[in-house]
Amino acid sequence: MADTAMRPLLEVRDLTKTFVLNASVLNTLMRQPPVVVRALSGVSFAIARGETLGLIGESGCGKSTLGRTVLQLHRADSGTITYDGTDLSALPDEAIRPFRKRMQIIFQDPYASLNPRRSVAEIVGLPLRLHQGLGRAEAAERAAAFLPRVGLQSGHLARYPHQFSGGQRQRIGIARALILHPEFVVCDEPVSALDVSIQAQIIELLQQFRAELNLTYLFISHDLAVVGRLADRIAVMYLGEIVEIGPRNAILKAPAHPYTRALLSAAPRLHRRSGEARLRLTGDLPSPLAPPPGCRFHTRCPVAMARCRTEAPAVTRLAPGHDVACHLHEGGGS
Amino acid sequence: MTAAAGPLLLVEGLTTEFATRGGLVRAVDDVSLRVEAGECLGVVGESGSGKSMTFLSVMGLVRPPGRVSARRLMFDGTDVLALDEAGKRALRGRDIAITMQDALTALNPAFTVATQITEVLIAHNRAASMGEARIKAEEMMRLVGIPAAASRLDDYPHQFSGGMRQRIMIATALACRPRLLIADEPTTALDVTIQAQVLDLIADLRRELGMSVVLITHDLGVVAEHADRVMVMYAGQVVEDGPTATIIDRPAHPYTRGLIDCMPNLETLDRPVHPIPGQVPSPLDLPPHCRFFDRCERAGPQCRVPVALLPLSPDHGVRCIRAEGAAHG
Ligand SMILES: Nc1ncnc2c1ncn2[C@@H]1O[C@H](COP(=O)(O)OP(=O)(O)OP(=O)(O)O)[C@@H](O)[C@H]1O
Ligand SMILES: Nc1ncnc2c1ncn2[C@@H]1O[C@H](COP(=O)(O)OP(=O)(O)O)[C@@H](O)[C@H]1O
Ligand code: SF4
Ligand code: SF4
Ligand SMILES: [Mg+2]
Ligand SMILES: [Mg+2]
Repeated sequence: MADTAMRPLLEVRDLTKTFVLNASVLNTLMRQPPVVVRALSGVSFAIARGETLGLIGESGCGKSTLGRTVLQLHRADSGTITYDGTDLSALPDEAIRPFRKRMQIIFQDPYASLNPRRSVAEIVGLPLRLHQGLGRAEAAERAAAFLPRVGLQSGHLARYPHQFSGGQRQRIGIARALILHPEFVVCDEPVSALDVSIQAQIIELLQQFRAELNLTYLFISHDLAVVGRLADRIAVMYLGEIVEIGPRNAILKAPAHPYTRALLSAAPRLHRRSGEARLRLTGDLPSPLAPPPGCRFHTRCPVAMARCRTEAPAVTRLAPGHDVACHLHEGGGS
Repeated sequence: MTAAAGPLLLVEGLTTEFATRGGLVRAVDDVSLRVEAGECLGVVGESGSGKSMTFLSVMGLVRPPGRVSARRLMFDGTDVLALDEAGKRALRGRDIAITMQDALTALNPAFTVATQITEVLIAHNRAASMGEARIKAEEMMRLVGIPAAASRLDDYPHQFSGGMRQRIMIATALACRPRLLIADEPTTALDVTIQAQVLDLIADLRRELGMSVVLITHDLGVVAEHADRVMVMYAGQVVEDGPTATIIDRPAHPYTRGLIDCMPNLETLDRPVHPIPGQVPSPLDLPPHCRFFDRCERAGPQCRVPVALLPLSPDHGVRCIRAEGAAHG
């Protein structure tokens, strides 16, 4: 017990991942070098067993890439991913197989992530067949027994994805991910494509399963309020880097990084305290193909200083478990 | 200017139907609304509730097999139903502009942004020459915050980021200085910081140009911050409308109340989530009674009748016989 309490379930160190954009015929003819996107540059964090880490950031900042790399759906360029004491990044593909059933993913798009030609029985039963060697009939039977737990009926078994609403499809995706009783689940924007009334249903379902199965979540979203509902700690990403990470209330109540502050300030509210000025950012998200030098946020940062344009800020510990990468906070405290 | 008194846009009894293989779909069912000069009307509801279809119908942009009918459709005192095709076309783009849900598909990928903006200006006689149109196009691009606007005029839509494309579409819509801007989910595909930029821009232009705005969104937070009045749609019908503060603080319809209660809210993170159970009925299989019946906490046997939109007060309407504060039912 003491041992598992001390050792995080997942520890990621200096993770780097680049994608080479497909060199077009034109580029080859023009002898231009291939274009490289650096989706993750030196990402580090840890998640304790039973804990939920929320991951927030704008479109294209690398959230999904991080989730998929942790699950070894992509191979990292460098860095380590230590899962329950084993460095997955050092393992050959065959050796990763036993870990696959312990780690699952729920995708953002309930429309695209389910095979339209497979019935619910096949979709939800597939992990059982792959990882537990069950036959078709037995897998279907277990799937039928699991469906009520995600709010569907066993009578839905023979139906196909297009016969369901978005929220119901997300329930199918959740059943597929959880039927093997995994320990660790990457939830990649599981409610972003859903209506608000349905979002709340799915969030509640994810909370129930977390309690019942003692799940550990990496919960990705671009919506701070959604992340705040589920996360114990929150990591904020900008252009492939974690710029701030800390306990949920520290991030939401006392954000330190100017980008975290901007995100919080920009979130539309039902009731905004009067006199609470909204922080306005200007400028577009820079291209990940050519991230700005120095602090990557300097092109949009309302409080950028001269050194921010050339010097990348180091990570500063503000409080136990609360880290920020910004020149304003170097030297700690503040 | 013509009719100073009445609302800028007045719609009564708008219905839009599609004959589909599965049967008749009534996407918009007897919708009435008005937008005053200078006002921002927020339109909220689940996806498929008929928000886009209502305003595409107002704009005359519904294609067959869609069928649109209305008892009354007035723009600034002009009877739009009596206009011929040319008259309607002149109204669209010049006096009323719409920005579509998806900026990439709404902009033509084959033409530069300069071509697309100047075309609109020339078509609506807002520029006398190509040269003047180009100058105006550049001005609009700058107004919507495209950096280095002059040098980017001749770029194609795919060369801009999602946020920039959205703003270019707004620039195109605003080029003719419309009196009414219909912004359909202008920020759904955007990140919060960019979303805030686009909404601030629309608010600035409203103030500067005295423009009226219809803001279609599913985000009540966006509505709370930007709209003067709100119209809530459910399964093709208006279920509640009224001033924004009333709708947010004293919603009368159980669906509106449910939407507010289940909205992820930074202020109330640890309050238990309170989802609306169930899902929207299929448009092919609508109940003959109140359409929210299956999901409604307040539903009772007396709700098994068709329910009309009735005024709770002169500026607050609700379609519920057991509405909070209702006298009837
Ligand atoms: N398979 C791929 N090939 C090439 N580039 C990729 C690939 N996957 C991701 N990228 C690029 O890596 C960067 C990070 O992408 P990622 O999908 O991780 O972003 P994200 O934060 O999940 O965004 P969103 O919020 O839109 O889902 C982006 O610039 C993206 O275009
Ligand atoms: N071309 C079409 N044929 C049949 N039904 C349609 C068509 N276009 C829209 N609908 C239906 O009209 C309803 C309202 O759609 P829409 O106005 O786009 O919803 P919203 O904008 O509120 O998400 C939906 O039920 C949709 O399926
Ligand atoms: S390092 Fe400088 S530019 Fe970057 S967030 Fe801090 S103040 Fe802003
Ligand atoms: S009429 Fe009845 S069922 Fe419909 S919303 Fe009102 S209380 Fe609910
Ligand atoms: Mg993603
Ligand atoms: Mg729509």
